[in-house]
Amino acid sequence: MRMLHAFILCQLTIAPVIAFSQSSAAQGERFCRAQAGYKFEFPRDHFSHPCFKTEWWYFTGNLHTETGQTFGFELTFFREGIDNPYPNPSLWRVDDLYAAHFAISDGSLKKHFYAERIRRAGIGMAGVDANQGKIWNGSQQEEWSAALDGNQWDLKARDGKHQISLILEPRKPPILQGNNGFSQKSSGEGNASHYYSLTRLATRGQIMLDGRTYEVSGWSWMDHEFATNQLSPDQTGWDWVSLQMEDGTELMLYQFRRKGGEDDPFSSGSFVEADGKVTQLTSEEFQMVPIEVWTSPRSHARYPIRWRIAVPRLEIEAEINAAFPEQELVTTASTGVIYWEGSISASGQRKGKRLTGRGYLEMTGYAGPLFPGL
Amino acid sequence: MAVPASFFYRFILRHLLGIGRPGDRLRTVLSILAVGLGVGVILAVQLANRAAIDSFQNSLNDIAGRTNLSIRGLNGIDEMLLPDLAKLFGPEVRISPIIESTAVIPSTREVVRVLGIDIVQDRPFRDTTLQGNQLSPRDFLLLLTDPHSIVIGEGLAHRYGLSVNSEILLLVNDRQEVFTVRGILTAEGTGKIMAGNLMILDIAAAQLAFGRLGKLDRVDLIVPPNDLAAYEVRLPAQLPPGLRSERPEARAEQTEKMLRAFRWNLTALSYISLVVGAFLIYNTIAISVVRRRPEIGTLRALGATSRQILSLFLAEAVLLGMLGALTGIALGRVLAGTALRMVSATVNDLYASAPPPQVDMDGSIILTSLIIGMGVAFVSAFFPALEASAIQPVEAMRRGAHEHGHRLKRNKYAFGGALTLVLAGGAALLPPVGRLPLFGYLSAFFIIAGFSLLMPLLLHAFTLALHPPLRFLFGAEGHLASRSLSASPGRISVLAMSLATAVAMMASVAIMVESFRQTVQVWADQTLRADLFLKPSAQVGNSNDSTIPAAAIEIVRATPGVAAVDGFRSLDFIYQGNLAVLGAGEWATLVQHGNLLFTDGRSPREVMSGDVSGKALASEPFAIHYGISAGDHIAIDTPSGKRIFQIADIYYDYSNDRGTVVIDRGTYRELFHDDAASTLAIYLNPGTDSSRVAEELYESLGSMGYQFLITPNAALQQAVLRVFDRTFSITYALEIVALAVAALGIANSLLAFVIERRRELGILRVLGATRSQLRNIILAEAALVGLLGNIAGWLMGVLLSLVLIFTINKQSFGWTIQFLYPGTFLAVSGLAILTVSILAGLYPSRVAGQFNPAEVIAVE
Repeated sequence: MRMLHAFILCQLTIAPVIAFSQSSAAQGERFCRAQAGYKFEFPRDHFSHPCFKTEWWYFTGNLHTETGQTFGFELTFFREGIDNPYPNPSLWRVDDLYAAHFAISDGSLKKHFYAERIRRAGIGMAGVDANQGKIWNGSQQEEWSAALDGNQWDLKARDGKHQISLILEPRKPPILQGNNGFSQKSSGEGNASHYYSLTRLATRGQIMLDGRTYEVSGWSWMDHEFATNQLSPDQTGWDWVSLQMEDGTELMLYQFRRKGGEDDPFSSGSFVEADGKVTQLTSEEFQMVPIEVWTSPRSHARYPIRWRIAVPRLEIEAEINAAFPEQELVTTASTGVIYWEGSISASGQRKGKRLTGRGYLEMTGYAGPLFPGL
Repeated sequence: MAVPASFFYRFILRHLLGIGRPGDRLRTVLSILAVGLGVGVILAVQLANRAAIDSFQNSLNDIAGRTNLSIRGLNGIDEMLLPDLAKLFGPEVRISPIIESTAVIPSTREVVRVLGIDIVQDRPFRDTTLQGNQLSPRDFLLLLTDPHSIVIGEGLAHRYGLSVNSEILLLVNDRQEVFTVRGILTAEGTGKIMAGNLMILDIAAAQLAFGRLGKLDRVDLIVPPNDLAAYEVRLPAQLPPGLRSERPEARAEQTEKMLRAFRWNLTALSYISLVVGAFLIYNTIAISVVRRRPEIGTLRALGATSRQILSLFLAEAVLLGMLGALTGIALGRVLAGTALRMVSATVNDLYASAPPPQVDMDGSIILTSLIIGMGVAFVSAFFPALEASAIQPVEAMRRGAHEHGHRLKRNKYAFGGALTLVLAGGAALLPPVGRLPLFGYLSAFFIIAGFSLLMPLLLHAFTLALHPPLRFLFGAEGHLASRSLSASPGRISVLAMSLATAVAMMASVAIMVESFRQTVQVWADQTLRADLFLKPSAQVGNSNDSTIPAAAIEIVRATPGVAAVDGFRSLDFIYQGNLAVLGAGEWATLVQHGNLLFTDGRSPREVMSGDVSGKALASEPFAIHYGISAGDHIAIDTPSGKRIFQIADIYYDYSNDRGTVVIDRGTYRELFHDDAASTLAIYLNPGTDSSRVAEELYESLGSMGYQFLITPNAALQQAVLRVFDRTFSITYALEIVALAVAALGIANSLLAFVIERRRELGILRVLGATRSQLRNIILAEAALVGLLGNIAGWLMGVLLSLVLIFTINKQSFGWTIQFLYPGTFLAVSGLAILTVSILAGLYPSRVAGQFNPAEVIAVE
């Protein structure tokens, strides 16, 4: 699961902290609440759900060149619904704001690059179009996009000398997280999201970093989640991890951190076997324990960059390691969230057999409150 | 060339300070005041120009922010073209859509600049800092969604006592709306625009409020600097029809060009007072030299070199110039406020809405004033000082030799003068230099110079002619007065010339303005034929930001009593890099109900009937600026592509000097897909009560929420003349100052004259002349100088007015003015000037009357 809770807009130069957050902003009449029993249907549900306040599409992946250079990438699209009661026929009226984050991690040089942007739909400037099969941000000349062509995703993003152009082909059907895609995030009716993942996307294409282009291939992961209300105020942050193992299985775990430090019963996860069989995991069925902490020189946040994970039910024990520590994103000009999202590797064992894999780790709430200004 | 300071003090300073002779002190003060007025007026006009015009240009640059290329269209840009535009650019280019307009504060009719931007993503383009540095999340959300939420500039907030959450009523486009202030910009970056007299709102809100749904006024781009030139080369061929790209500086350049002629003429006018002042400095130094010949001779005999004498007198002049300039700087600062109000009123009326003006004084402008004051004093004192330095020790004791020499040169001067006047005539015929009538100015200068050279001869002829009648009428006093004038031709010529210059300036401008006014009045009377004129109440001056929608035009058409409606649309368009106006009117309606005056005398029916789709009319300024005549073709980039129009004819137009091209409204609608109008001319059925129709219109349109101004014919004609008079108010003010300077000059010179002739006057007293007789002699002299100055001034004024009307004005603005001699006005003001010059003689005559004969002779 991925979360974007606070859209912070820095406009009129002064970073007026606008948090269009479901946690405290009045819930408008426009928005629905996530409810159990929602029937997913694809490709329809790959696209927008304007009835929900917040929606995101996360693409992450670990790629390598033939000579063994490793790269991680992140391309994320956010849609934040705005409850706009004012009639205005202008095409520039705002009913949704669209943000996007784009990052590349160079595992060999241990360099992390990222860019961010925020747009309104305007005229072709951002949006989600089921007919065209496209999720995009930016006008034509600067577009970042994820386009669905048949079964495969075509990802494109460029910022200056950094660029990705990738084709992602799913090797497993969408995995519905939680209870058939209904994922309870905190106590209370409706504090939940609809959530599915594409856990194994065979990926090939080009990455350009600092003006140098590399032919790459590897595995990507896609998360799509939409919700109106999710967290409760005493949930101070979360740690999310996705792992694609060399044995063809995938593991996803997330845990909430609470103000008091106690375990959160809404933490959860899933395990997908090579043949696509899914096991849902509850908070009691796994542990994530930090081993090593790195302090960000920019935000002074202290992020655990090594973890020990254990899923006794599946006899999995492993240690995960950040590819390198410096993979923090400070997104003051779009979503306003400071978070760590980066490429990781895992090694351990499952049922006594050696288990290795790569994946992505997301850690939020380490650099102050999740909902600044509220 | 070193002159000891103590020497300077004893010889010059004591004198200037009038130590021992109170009359001299007054003279010094008068000279300083004259220069001060001259410099003050220049400074004031310069400050006013700068405040009203430069700040306008600076604002244009502030609006652009970091934009380095903009896309514009003749009538905005269809927003659906945006994706196509985006395709033309590389991934590094940032694109921001803009709505720009103006709003009006109903209570004060003050114009507020409006900027509609995409507040979500405009940040890279413009720096906008808010007071308190923060917009609350709620306020930001409102700014994004509520079409009546705005951010305003500090200046506006301050003047109207507005703060966050205040409401403000504004006239926008065709209606009146209440907006709520959500934030206040500090006076930095974008907040500096129009001195903070601006409002920013989200683009969606701006489109709705300003009637621009579906349209953008421009698209701002930030292009990598290295690619800028390449894009500028490529874009013209790639842009959709009717769109063009331009750098933001181009806007400021176009504005500069538009205002250049106005600015130059004002500056040229402001220098006339200084010319008058220069004559006075010349006079002061010349008198000083003549009076002190014996002293100079003595100094020379005692070993002073001629260079030392030269520098002494030049130093005197420069000192006077400096003191004058300092006075002028103080004076200019005071006058600038008034000048500024006048200049910015005109800029607002004729060109575009300017920011609330603020006078801004800085070191460079003070330095310039000092240099001008001292420089003019130096130059005008140079010849008298040179003469002083040429005085031989032995010459010192001989009186009158100097003036005698002048008498001999009289004819030579006159010849030079005549030649100069011929040159003036030649210069007046030369074409403008880049729309500026530089040769016209030169011609005016030649006329003044020519008359200066002719003056000794004129004086001679004048006294010769007047001597018998004066003698007959006033007996001995008349005889003595005319004789004493002809005895000092040099000094009196200069004196008369300074008055003549002021009179000429006044006369020429009066002739020009009166001719112009008459011409405009006749033009307005003949061409403004409609019974009612309607415009959006948010429309101010020559701006065409606000429009009347087609629905409202239909309501007007359907109103009982209305015979015809001519909807006129005007747009700014760029022709050969200059701002011009494209108009679209209903030709058929105009032929049937209205009128236009064509330069070749044809009637609208002859010119504007038949197939009008490929035809256009050009206003006279347009024809003159671009050298276009009837039958020529011009190309206009329309949203439907480039179209060629044949100029059917040239019509007289005094509504703007940018030049207008008018096409038929039907053609316009087809090419521009726009059915709004900027103004309506409403023709009523015969016998219909226009005020009743106006009331009905106010009611029916008002009930739909429209805010229009409806002006009856007579009121519009008056308004035209009111704007005209306001435009020339600064001209009148400058004339009065020049006359004041001339009056100071007369008083100054006569005083010197009197003081110098103490001995002579004393002897007259001893010989039995009464005090009142002495007074009369001086007054008669003053009257004679006044009369001479007047006559020469009128002659010169008529010549100057010809240059003003047929060269300077025509080349600057492209207007034909029917020459008209405002006889009564000039007779009355002539009399007034004569009175002023006699009054200027009052104090000197009193001084003369007070001489104690015994004392005066004892001194000698």
